[in-house]
Amino acid sequence: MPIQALSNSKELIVESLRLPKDTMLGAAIVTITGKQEAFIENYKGILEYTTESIVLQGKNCKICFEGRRLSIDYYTNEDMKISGSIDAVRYV
Amino acid sequence: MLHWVQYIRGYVTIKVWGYSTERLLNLCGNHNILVWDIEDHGDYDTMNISVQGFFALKPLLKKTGTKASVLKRYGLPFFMSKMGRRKIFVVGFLCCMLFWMLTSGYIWNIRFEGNYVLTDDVLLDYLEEKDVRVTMKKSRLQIEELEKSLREDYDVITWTSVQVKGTTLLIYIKENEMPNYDQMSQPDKTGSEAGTEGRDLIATKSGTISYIITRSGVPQVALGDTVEKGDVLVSGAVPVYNEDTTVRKYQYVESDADIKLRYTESVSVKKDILYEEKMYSGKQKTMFMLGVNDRELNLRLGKIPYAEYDVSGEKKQVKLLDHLYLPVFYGKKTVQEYEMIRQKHTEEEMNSMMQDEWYKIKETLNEKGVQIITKNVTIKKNDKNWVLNANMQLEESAAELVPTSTEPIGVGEDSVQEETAE
Repeated sequence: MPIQALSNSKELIVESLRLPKDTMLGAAIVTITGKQEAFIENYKGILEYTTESIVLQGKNCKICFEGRRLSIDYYTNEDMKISGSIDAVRYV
Repeated sequence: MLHWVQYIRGYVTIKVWGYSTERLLNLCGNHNILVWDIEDHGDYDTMNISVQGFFALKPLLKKTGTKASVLKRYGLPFFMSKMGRRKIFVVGFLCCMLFWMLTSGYIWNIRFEGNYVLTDDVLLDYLEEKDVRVTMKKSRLQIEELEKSLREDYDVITWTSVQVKGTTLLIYIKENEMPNYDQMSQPDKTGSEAGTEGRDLIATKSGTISYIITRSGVPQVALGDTVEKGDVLVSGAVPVYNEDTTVRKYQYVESDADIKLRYTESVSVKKDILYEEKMYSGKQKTMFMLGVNDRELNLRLGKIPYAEYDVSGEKKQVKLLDHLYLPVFYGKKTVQEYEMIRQKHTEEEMNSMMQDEWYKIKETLNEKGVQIITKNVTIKKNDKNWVLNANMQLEESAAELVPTSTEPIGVGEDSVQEETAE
């Protein structure tokens, strides 16, 4: 309960000070262009990679991309780009 | 841009398989090793990785228990090592580049445009004098000066433009279309200056005077006189008489007169009935030709098997793009066999040939301004040949102006007389 309160208060501070949420809260930024491309920043790592699904580890949650012929255009510590036919993005 | 950087630094496509390729990817990310174009092929993944990244990958592979093998190499470092193995190719390529760079620094062709009065040959000779020729260095060419000297040395040229396009020297010329009156009147002036010395009209042919009207000078002949070639017809020394009809002095003038001379001339033309004609057998051979500068090399197999033959053909100059001419020629030559065959002209053919001959004689006389007064044309025929004999009486104005050469004898006598009178 106190953790919940702490995170809530942190969110409140970030919100009130208008600080960028991604850096302060470690939230992942996912930019999807149409159906073909996804651009992800601020993630921790890759958990699973097949042509049908790519699962990424965020700070607070996992992000799961589902689709067909998925491939990773590039992969660095900061950002990555996925291309293929994306059917769904799920936060687990 | 990124592609170029990747190409210059070199990269490889690797195949990764094993327990967890995802973990390897994460470790790559943590170690700042860039990987791209990651594709899942089921049993294995393929990805591109920089050469440096590939070397840094080894401990990571050990850690994750995955294996990697190189599928393909890309980029400049690999290309260079490949070229290192093909030394002759590289040397050949560099030599080729060097050849082009060297040869493109010279003039290989000179072209003129817009010249009608001045022929290409005249202009080429002029350029040769100015040390501008094919195979000269472009850097030695002084375009401005060449333009200027062309305009100055030829009055007929009113505008010039000299350009170098590739290895061709292009010279554009505009000629003066109006006749140059200044130049035309110049010889006249010099003539009149010489006239103070006096000028005689002399006969250029032997014959009889058939017509004479003198405008200036003293006629030395009369109508009907027979003269020899070189005889003075009208003298440019006009005597001025004393009261006692002795010559006091001579005034020198330029003789001017219309004089026609009549003379006889005979012309004879012989034509053989038999003649030789080339009969092409239809057999021919084609050979190829290569040439550098003035040297030619015919590419053929064996000797030409014909006793008598004609060679004809065409050659082309090798050029690059539009204006880069090289001193290399190539072409095709055709060798045609022929046989000389004795033929006989028919009566009709002979007749028309004789007619033609007579017509030619008349034409040439006409062109010279010679009039035919009477003519007697006969044709003698025998088995071997026909002979055309033309006896003609011709009339032409056969007089020529020459400076009065001999001092009239009267002057000297005259002065002696005057002295004695004193």
